[in-house]
Amino acid sequence: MFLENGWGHLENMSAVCFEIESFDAATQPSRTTGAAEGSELSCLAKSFGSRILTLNDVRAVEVTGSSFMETVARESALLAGDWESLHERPDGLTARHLARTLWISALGAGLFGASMGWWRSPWMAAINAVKFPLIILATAFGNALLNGLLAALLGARLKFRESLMLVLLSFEVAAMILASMAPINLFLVWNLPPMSDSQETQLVYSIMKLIQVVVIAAAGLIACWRLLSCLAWRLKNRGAALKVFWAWIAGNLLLGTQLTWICRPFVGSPHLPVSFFRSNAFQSNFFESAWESFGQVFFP
Amino acid sequence: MIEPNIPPIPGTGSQPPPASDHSAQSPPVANGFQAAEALLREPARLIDEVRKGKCNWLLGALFGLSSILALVYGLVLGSFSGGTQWWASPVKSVICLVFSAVICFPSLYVFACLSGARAKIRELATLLVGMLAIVGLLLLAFAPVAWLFSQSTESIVAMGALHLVFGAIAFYFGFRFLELGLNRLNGDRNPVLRLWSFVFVLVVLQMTTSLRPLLGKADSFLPDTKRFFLQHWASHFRD
Repeated sequence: MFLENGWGHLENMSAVCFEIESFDAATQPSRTTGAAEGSELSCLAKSFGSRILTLNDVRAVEVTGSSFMETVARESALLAGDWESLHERPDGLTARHLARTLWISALGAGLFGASMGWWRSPWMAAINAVKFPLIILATAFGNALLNGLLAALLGARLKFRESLMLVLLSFEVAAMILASMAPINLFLVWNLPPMSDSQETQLVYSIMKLIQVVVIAAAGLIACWRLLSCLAWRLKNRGAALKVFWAWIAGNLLLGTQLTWICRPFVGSPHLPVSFFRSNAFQSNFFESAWESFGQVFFP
Repeated sequence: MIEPNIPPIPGTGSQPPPASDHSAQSPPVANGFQAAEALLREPARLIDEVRKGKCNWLLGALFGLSSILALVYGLVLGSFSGGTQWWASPVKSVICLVFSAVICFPSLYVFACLSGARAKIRELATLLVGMLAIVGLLLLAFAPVAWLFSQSTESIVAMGALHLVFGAIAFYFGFRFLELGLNRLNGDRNPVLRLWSFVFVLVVLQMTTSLRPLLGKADSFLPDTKRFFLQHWASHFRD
């Protein structure tokens, strides 16, 4: 809505996303966007109420209390790496923020997982919609203590809760990228020949796996890049940030790959039935299997 | 008069966008024809107007313009085979562009944010349909040449290659407009955006295969077998 009659509306709202644009013939156009809630609202109202108030100065003050818009504003700041904006928000590291990070990560990863499983069967899609978020969350929480301890040992002044939130934020970035690719992934699946016992199905299965790996790897790399920039911003020391970053990545990679191994299948081999877990889920591990494959190829 | 400095606002990390190059006295874009002209001659001015919220009608107008242009180019595509393709090709051309834009829009939003752009969903949607309108305008300009060739040859491969070249040129300028728009919304020249452009081209190419034939004769509106676009092209080359 547009505020044209003062700031009364603003002070009565619990949270707003705002966009203020001011321009006239003599000055350059400038725009300020952001989100505020709680005690910030009265501060925001006063800062404008004391000096602007007329629409001659401010052409448009768009204020919305919609939580959807608020979420969009926050997510765009997160993707853009605008850490100042995220940190200054009063809910920066609170339980509410944690909850929002969790549901967005779960939704994003679930959407991509479902689009990936759809080629195999709708049932595989439903299973993936549950498994993908589970892997992300299990990796973050499973390594929470380790990540917190490593940060402290490597000289980073991060609270335990902060280190957890930083890892979750990077997973959230990856999940949003994956969610945005889900419609394209579904289009890809729609274009694939249906599953059959033919030789062609094996080829399609291989192509499908390859594309999924590339997309997930790209999302993971971008998320890592954001995590590193966030750590560098938070610690104000790129050297320390790099140490913590590599330590966290190594730990998360170790746990994440094994969780992924246990939770297979995701696309589902054409000659095996759809299932939540393979019957041999807890046999062997990712690295052992990779080593065996390496041996078969190079030392047959 | 406006005061030069807006006071700091809590919860705001964004910087004001770069200064406009255009005179503030420039008359605002008032109708579709002016919008089409501005797209070609002064894209930066059009983007600034969108940013200022002066052209909320542009989204619908540019969408309509790009659909009509795709329809017209589709007629040229259909003229190669005639018959049912007179109506099927224009319809498929519009579906191809619109559906590609719709399924790629979420990733454009995410990639634009990753490149640092602070754009609203509506602004980004306007940029995307602006890009499609530029593509449509260029294809319209190529239409007479394409029609002439389509009447002079029966080779689907030759015509397909010609349309691909025209499409590549049109999309080059389309992506240039999109990049300019994102730069004016604080985005960087980021490889992430180039990656999105690559994905979008792949989706459009696959769409032309999913909706085939756009050029040759067909018994049904949509094909009954599914193929990758490279596989489809290879089969035509073998024939």
